[in-house]
Amino acid sequence: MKERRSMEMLEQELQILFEAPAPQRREKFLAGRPRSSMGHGAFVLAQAAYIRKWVWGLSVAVFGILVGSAARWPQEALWITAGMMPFLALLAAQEHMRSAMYNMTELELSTRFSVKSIVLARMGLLGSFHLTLLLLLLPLLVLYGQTGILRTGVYLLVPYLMTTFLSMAWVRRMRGREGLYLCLGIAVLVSSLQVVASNTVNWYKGQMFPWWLLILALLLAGNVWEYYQAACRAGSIYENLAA
Amino acid sequence: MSMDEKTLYDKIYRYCYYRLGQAELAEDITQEAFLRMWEDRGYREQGKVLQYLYTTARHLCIDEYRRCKAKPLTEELGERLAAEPGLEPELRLGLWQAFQTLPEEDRELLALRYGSEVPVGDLAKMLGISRFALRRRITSALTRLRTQLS
Repeated sequence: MKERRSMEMLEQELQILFEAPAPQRREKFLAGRPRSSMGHGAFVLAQAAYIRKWVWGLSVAVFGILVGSAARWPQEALWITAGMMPFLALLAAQEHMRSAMYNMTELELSTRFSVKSIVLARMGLLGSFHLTLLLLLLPLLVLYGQTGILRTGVYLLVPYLMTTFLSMAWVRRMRGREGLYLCLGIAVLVSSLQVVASNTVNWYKGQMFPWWLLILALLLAGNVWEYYQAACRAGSIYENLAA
Repeated sequence: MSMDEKTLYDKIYRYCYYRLGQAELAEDITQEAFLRMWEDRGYREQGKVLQYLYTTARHLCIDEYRRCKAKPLTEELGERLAAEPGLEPELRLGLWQAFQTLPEEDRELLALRYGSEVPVGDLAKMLGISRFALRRRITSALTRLRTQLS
């Protein structure tokens, strides 16, 4: 106890010992710093132009198909939409692995903006775009179906997040174009599972909903974890190059 | 590491002041370190701003020290130590002298932790060691300092 107290006193004394007079030119110097011509918002918007046009186009096409099928087969609209979610997710996932697919990660690490911020901006943009499309579709599904807005939202998010999670997890372990084929396989698998199982086991029943919520929570955590792993990996590549 | 530029400026300035003992010169070196970072945009985006600034400032201080033999303990510093409340001025000067007898590594560590007040997590990252290892090193350095004092 006495030793701890004396250590604390020593720490306080050291703080006083290292006190420096207040800097005189700080405000003026920092006010005159060269500002980046591009803010965060402008940077994110600029990334939209680098996402390939067919990715945007396909996203809208999938949305169109879903609206059409909801109007034509209102009873089956929910599981058809849920079955298409993995393909929307695949579009987002392939943007995530684009630099790895073309072996450009090392080169992109030397650019002005880090590959982490670029991938985050692109995934954020595509994710927000897909979420907007889903929000537009949601009233239609709620209108035709018997499930409420919350349940419908969860039923759609689970296959989407499952595909992104599995894709990111596998892409981390694979290199090059093989990753893309594997992600396509994952999307087909999740979609098929969704469609086949919804016709055999009725897992859209109300009693099953707590399980859906649990899976959703796990997938959200898993996606955050996988993104963090990908970011760390990019950082370690940089450090290896710098060493 | 999410420090604003004013906080970063203060931390680097205090570190330079500890190295050089002259406020004006310390501020010049701090500004030079910032200017170099702003010019080198690629590194800034890697999220290691404090580490970058600290390394640059350290090298600049060493260059400056070699160039004009700046004295770490000037009259300015001595007068200021005497004016601070707390310990007797003689005891504080004794503490400073005991501090000077520590190995360079310990002095650097204590200056960053207690002078620049770099948080433990950031400091551990800067030095590339775990928080636990850092705490152990700080405790050892403080124990050595206390031994020197007694």
